[in-house]
Amino acid sequence: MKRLKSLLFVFVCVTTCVVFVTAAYITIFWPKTSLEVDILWEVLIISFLTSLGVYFYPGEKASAKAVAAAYVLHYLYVNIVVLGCGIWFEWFYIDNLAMVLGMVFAIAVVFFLVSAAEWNRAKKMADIMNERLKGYQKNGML
Amino acid sequence: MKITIMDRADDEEDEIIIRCRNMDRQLLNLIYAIRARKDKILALKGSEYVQIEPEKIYYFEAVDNSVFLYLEKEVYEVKQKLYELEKRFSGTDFFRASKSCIVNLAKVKSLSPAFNGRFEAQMRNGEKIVISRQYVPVLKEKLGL
Repeated sequence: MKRLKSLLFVFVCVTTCVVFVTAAYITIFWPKTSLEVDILWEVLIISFLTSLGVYFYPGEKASAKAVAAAYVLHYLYVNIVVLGCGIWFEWFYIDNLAMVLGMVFAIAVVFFLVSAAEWNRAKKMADIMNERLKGYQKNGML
Repeated sequence: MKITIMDRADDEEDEIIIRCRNMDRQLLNLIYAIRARKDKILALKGSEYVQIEPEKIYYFEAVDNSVFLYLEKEVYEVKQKLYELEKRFSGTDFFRASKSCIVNLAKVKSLSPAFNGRFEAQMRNGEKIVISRQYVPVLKEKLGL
């Protein structure tokens, strides 16, 4: 259930970022194109598939190295999914280096933004818990 | 809650009497805490058994099939299983931080986020303990969140 909540949170963040990045990407590389409704479904499909990356992370006994490795693997997975789907949905031409690099840059931006949002959420919770911890320890632990 | 401390005769034992209308959770926690603090833990270092006061313990950790108890600097082995210790210290400052660890919240200096929904407890002796995603709700509940 906790992981499902995390998936939902990531999905919402990814979808939001993908919409912004897609808008920027289309403005730069496809300025004269007219869009169809399919693009919305494509954005949702890519967002959902990339959000599944939350399941990459190992169980609680995993070391910090294993978690860091999962993070890298997650990033590679996101690249493969987005570039693969991008080719499938004809978002870019594979022989157009600028488009490919633009896509890779867009992936990095979204990945960074979503990671930052997740970290920020956890940091806020840690701050609240630290406040409570101080009170807990001050008030005789009960 | 009113606290009354009374003198006792030399030949009497120390006694705590709780007078209440309802036995609520806070009161139960208090009773558990008094009992847990009173009972020392029998721990093993080499071939020597020692008794350790629970409030000195930083955390318990299960490694393979053994359970270890960590003080500020020393490490001892205990013969109880982790789930037995969890039961024994339920309602006290101790909480389950992961499948292999029980942490004394009184010895936690601060908490910080880690990857993927985990948190990290910085202990007062400088050690860091990972609180797994599964047990974060337990900690939150303990902190009244």
